[in-house]
Amino acid sequence: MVRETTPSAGKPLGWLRPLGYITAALLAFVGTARLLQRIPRPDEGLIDAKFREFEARADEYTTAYIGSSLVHRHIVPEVIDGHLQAEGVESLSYNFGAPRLSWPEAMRIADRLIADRPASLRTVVIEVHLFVPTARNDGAARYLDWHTLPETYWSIRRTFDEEEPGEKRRSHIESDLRAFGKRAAAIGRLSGAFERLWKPAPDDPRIELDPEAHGYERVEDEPTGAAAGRHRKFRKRIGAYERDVRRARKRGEQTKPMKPYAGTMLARLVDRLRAAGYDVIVLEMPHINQVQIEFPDPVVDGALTMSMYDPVRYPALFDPKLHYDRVHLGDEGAHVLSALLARRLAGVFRRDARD
Amino acid sequence: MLFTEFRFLLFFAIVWSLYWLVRSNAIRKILLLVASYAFYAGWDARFLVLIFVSTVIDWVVGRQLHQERDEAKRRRWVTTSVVVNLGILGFFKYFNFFIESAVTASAWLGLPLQAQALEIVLPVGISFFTFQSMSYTIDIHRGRTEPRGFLDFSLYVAFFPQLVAGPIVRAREFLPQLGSARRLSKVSFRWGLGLFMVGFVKKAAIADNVAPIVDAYFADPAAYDVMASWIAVTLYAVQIYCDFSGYSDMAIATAALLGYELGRNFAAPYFASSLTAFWRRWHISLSTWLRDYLYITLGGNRGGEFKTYRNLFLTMLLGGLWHGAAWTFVIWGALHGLWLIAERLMGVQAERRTGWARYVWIAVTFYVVCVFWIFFRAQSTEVAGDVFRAFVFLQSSGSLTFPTALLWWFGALAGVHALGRLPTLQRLWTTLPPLLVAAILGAGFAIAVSATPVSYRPFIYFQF
Repeated sequence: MVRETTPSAGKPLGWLRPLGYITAALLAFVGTARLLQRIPRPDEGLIDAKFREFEARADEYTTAYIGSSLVHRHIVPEVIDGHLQAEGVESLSYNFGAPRLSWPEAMRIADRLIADRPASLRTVVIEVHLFVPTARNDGAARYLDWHTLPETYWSIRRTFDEEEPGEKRRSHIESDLRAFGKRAAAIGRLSGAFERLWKPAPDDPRIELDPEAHGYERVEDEPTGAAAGRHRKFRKRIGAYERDVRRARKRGEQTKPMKPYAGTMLARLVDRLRAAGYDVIVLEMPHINQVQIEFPDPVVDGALTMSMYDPVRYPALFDPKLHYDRVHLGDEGAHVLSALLARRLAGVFRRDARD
Repeated sequence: MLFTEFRFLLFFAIVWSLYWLVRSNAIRKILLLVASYAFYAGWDARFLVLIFVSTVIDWVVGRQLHQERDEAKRRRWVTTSVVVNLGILGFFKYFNFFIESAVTASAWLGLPLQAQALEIVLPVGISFFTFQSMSYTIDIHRGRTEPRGFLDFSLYVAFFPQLVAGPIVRAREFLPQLGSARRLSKVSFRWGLGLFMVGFVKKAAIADNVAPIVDAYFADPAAYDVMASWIAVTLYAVQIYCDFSGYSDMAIATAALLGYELGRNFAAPYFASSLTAFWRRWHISLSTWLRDYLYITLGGNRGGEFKTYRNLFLTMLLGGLWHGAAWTFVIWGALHGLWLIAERLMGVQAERRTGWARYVWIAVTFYVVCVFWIFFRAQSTEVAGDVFRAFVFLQSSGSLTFPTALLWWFGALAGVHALGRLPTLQRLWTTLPPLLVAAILGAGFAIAVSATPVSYRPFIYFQF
């Protein structure tokens, strides 16, 4: 059997030449990766589905709502727009809420809206109970998508600013750097293109939303059964929930400041949207597991703040009969919340129209 | 830690840098040994004890074999090594298989037997390092090599480039290389890095993308039509070749970048014009190991025709079982054994060099190999039967299919593979300016990374 031998390299290497070769290789790698990023990335699910639907009528929408499941399950555009139109305010809203939406994901949604420049879009509403990024969804397309250089920086910085415990911080940083590297290297883009060659219908069918709902989905229709589990647990512990509501009423005006990362991300979001010419409303939803947020001013960095987290002013939003679980309202509760929100928005939009 | 993972590249960059910064050969070897144990611990730290115990036992046996003059005692020592290594392998890999087979057989005979299968975790690479370790003691017994110091032998067993999935390296080929410090000036980076990139592309860009197609088909072959069976089985041939040879390429390349030669493990096996030739090109380190330590030990071709065929058949049968603890692997090995016997009976030359007919024989051999792969891949004999009927007898009632464009893609891959073996292209690679080589490698890695599916798949051979 003939053994292959390693051909000899010849002359000794100085340190400059290898440095030059490494630089050439890195530049070629980065340049090629940038080109490969033009290949469409895989559909990540709900947010892509919402953008597909939004873009079909993009120039008609006047207001976009960005938030977590507290927007996804609570903001009923049909109700809000109906009330606003009855008050003489032209309105077509789109619900960009997504369960577990994190701050950097909200930034990506805002960036896409800014890039698309829909003709009629004037106002962006940002819900403040967004999630801090965690490594929980490491590996998901949705997790990779937001790991641009600035968002990765802010996510890693958060672990220091908020003094995360050592092991958690290490794991978090590792996950962020890995995701950043994968995104920058366009990992999976060519693979995804090959998969589309032989697998016309992906494993998770592309999410089809109800076009009449403009992004809203009832929590009762959540497909995996996780919501139903939370519902059953909630019904068994209504007493504990009612105690917490009474405690919240007694707390009254007591508030808590936003954590540094959330505050920074909110400020960045507001700045970016306002620089692009949008009016921004910062919205606090009722969330019994949280203390009300202390906004430094009714107007945060040029944005209007609005809170629906008031058990005294809005007792219906804490009525267990309207709740599906501790945090989420059912469909009826979402309609009630949307109607209450619409009344407040009507005042704001009429005032803006006069201005 | 897979070779295609970023953390391996980081690990190797650190090990490589420290290795070449150190001048002392002894310290380099200690560094490599520590790195190898750390690499293995990254898979499962519990089995570090196992690899250490196996190393200690075989090192002691090696020394005793060298010192002992009494042939009966020498035979006892080498038997100890073989029994310990095969015992370890047999327990971790085959215990449950034998228990379940015994229960099935006794039930078939009408003698119900109750036996408890154990929850045994298979140590990664056990089939490789036990065989490698045994080759050391057997070669000392045969006078083909001499015992080495504990450090050298430990590094030989645990050397991380080839620890978990080969190639199976012979002691007499590797240990002499540990005797002197490797020189950085002798390392060919364009060859090593180029080979690593080729391996990376094969594993991450080709095998990992083809795997879901194969998995989908083999999960329920009856649901697919005949064309789908041809596509899936052909692509499995691609997958297993690219997965395993890709890993071997990366192993050989990482060793080369440290200054060590591991020897070729694959030589374009699908261009073989007979099954005999196929086994001289496929998993060369295993096939030669089986030839030297099993086939020859059984008697080889020295006992007449019947014994030659018996030895050949047993070697292939056990070779099949080595790949996995399942009857489908045994069937696979048996089929190869029978076909090799048939080729011997027909006087087939290993490589048929009869002009255009050679290409016909290459296609025939590839077809036969694909048929046998069915049994290798199928998770049960029932599944193997369904696939066999569709692939060979063109019988299937299923309606699902795959785009035929995939066959063109396969053709393109085969073309690229053939081109890559052209001496002209290989010479071109060695003469390109280094900066251009660096840029090609950089761009090549970017394409390979982009072709890597986002969720990593383990190497197929890591189960063995």
